[in-house]
Amino acid sequence: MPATARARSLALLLGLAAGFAGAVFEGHRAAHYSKPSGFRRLHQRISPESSFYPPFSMLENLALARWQPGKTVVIIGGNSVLEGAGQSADHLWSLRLQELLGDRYVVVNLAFSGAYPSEGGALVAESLLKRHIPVLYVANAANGPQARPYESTYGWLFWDARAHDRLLFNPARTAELDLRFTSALPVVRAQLRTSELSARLNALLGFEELWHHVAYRHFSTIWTFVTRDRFWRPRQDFPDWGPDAPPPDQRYRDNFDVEMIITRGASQTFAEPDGQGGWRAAAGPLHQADIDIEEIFPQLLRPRMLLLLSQSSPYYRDRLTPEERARDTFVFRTYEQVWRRHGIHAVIAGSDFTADDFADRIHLAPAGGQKLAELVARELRQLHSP
Amino acid sequence: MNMLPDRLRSLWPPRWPAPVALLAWFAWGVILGLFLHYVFYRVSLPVEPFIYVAF
Repeated sequence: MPATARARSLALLLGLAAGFAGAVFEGHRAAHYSKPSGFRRLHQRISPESSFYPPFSMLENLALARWQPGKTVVIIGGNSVLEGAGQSADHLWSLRLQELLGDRYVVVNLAFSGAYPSEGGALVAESLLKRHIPVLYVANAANGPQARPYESTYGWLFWDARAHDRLLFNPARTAELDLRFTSALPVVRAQLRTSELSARLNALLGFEELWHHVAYRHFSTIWTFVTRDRFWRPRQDFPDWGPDAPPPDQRYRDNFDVEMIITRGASQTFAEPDGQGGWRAAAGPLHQADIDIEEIFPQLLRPRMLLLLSQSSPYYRDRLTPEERARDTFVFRTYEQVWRRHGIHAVIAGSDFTADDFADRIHLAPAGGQKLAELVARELRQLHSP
Repeated sequence: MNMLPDRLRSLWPPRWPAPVALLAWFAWGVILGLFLHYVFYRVSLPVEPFIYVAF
């Protein structure tokens, strides 16, 4: 006897509910185990540059999988300088840092191209602290005001971590968010609400975790320019193709004028003549930087942070006028002190590196990466000994 | 011209036993449920709209 139309509909609906519920279940399971294998860094094919937006849990799992009791996790955040642009996967500065620190430390490089020190790695460090896991956090920053972790490309990580209750208590951050939810421009409020709602829905349904896991391990459904040849292949099949810097005589060939403008810009708007032949900090950016740092970084994280102020290559700095160089030195030292005032250990990185240590104006070649690893290892040991 | 629909129809037994038919509908439901979950992921990605047309 054939099934009635009503029975068929019921079977279809039950199947739909079962399929959806099964996917939700698997999504929540994936949040506990899904992570890239053989991980060294978030290279182009497992990052938003190729429309791969790893969920917060995927980043945290990378640290959790390596940590064991008695070890300290060193999370690297910040931008492409610390991500290791200019160094191939085998010559990565963070591998050297791991060697220098030894097996009582676990180094996990979660820096993203173009990210701010408040993003990605900082949030994972917060979450690990919340789990009472010993953490050190290394990031780099530019001089001046700082961006909040929900203000850029990597904002989803903040909302994801927040929706999963993985962030430390930070009343200043909560107050600022509340203010934005109520007083920001309507278009900004709408964006914030959409991001928050999406993250809350995901915390409930686990779709980011499941389908990013599928995209990494099994097959991808997203066409992107950088994976265009075989976009359907799982992202684990795409190696880290980041190259080493070209030979020294082939560097610094392009965009000289633009790079000089950027080099000047590292200090131009942050200092003004003091009328006695010296420099004083521009009050506006300095005040804003104070507010930003105080609000963004939780008190518990600050004593465990090493903040690097990345200097440009001497290839460009040596071409500044004596006045500009004095201003550059003044601004870097001023902002080093600004971070320190907030209880964050800050150092200027790259001021004693040679032009050959750099791959371009700001990124480091393998030789520069080695020097950076030595600097960071030295500073981290001062900051904390296990 | 009219042969194809008839041939296709012949592949679908006109009177499957109820348990088998219900199982088939249930399986279709599972696939749809998975797809619905995938759609949540897909629309949450900040990618170019033309890609939505492709997938």
